[in-house]
Amino acid sequence: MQAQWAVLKRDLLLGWRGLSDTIAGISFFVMIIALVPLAVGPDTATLTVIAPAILWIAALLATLPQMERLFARDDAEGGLDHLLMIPAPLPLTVLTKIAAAWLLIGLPLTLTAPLLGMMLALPLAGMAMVMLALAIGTFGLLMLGMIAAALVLGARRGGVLIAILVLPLAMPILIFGVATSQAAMLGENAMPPFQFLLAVVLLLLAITPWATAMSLRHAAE
Amino acid sequence: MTEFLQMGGYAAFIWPSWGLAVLVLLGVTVSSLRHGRRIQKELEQSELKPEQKKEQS
Amino acid sequence: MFDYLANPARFQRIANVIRPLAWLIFIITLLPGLYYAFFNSPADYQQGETVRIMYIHVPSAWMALMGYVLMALMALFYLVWKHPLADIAARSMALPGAAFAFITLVTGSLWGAPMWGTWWVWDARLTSMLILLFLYIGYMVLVDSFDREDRGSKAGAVLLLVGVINIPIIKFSVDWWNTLHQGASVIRVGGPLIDASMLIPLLLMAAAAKWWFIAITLIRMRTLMGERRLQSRLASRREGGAHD
Repeated sequence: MQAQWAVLKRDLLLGWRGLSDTIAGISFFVMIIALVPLAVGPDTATLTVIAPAILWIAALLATLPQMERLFARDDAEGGLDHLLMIPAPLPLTVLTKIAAAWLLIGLPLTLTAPLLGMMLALPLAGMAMVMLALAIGTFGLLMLGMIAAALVLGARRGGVLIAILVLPLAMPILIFGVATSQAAMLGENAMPPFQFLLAVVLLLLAITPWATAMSLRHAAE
Repeated sequence: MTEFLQMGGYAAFIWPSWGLAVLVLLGVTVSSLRHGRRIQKELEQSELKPEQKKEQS
Repeated sequence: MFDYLANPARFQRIANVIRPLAWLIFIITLLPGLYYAFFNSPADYQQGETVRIMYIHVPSAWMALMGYVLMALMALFYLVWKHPLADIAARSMALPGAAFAFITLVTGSLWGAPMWGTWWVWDARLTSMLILLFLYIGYMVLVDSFDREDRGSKAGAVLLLVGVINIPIIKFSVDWWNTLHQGASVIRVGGPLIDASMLIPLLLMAAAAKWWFIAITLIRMRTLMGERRLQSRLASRREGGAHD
């Protein structure tokens, strides 16, 4: 447990020092959303209809560039070996790193969402549900990102490769996340898609730590 | 014959489907065979060289 | 059986026997398959002659899915038993599998055009197949992105296992999404009601596709094994010179 604290603190500290990463990620998120009315037109009725979809696609795109950095720092400083030597099960350490990454990017995205929702003329009524879905969804996306980041360690290409690996696997999160948000907006029952979203993320939780740990060991060989 | 080729008016969809399938599968076949043959040849050559060297020395 | 086949030389001997046999079965099933598909099967009462696209579309879809599952199985063998032959098999299946996924998409679109009135409909099956093609492409790019070959193999194997666990979830989510939006797909592609007169060519073409896949996989496996032998030979010559 102590070791996990150390990993979490270290990652958060590094994230805090490199706060520009988070700021850049959020700015990217906001800019994607600002582009939509400029492209589609300022018609409020249209925007309301597509807003949940835009919110989720923007969240997906905004987390992608962060994924490359998840292990890059460890790798560059020889910290990968350090990570492997932590006297705790490696999957647990991976989970801690996902939590740190979520605090650094998932949480800020979730917190900015209501503001952007207002810009897209979303009714505020269902916003709590949207935020909950985004919080869980970004956690799932970061888990996928963790696997992909561990897989591409030492590869000749990084960023695009991660996108190619993550995006097809992210489809269920996108589908159920958007469906939950839409239902919440319209005041309908958002529970069925939300439960599916939860199920998908829980399943990822069961796979990711081990798949990532395995790839990390391969990368360190 | 023309009746067959017209495919009940759907010729524009049926023939391209089959044509593309044949093209793709043939492409994979030919490239696999060619690459295989090239590697086989290189392997044989690399087997020859050391012996030739021994004969010379 | 896997242990028995794991010896590369023995595998190669067996493969050398199977390969011509695979081509033979391919031809034997393909020719009557084509005959039935074009001359001896009825036009569908609803879809007319376009149903003849089914005989290439549906076998391709089956093979695309089966290819990925087989690759994942090989990935499991590779990660558990660490035998390079399983990795070589997985790598060799990627291109023919992706080819089938691509064919499924294009023929589905060409079949859909007269039936749906547009070239592309976000039908659940087509959408899932599109994602499957992305998974294939991801694997091929990933495996090819490393200077150290075994890193690529291991990363690819982990990806295949993660992918194969996710495929049912992706399929489920796309189906769910599709019923939510109730698209224009009035006619289910390759629907459940198939007459025996259509089943014969379908199964023949499916068998042909499968044996083509086997033949191509074996050819590609031999090539890859040859490539590795060549590389190790070159490497040892560079190091040891005359000792080789």
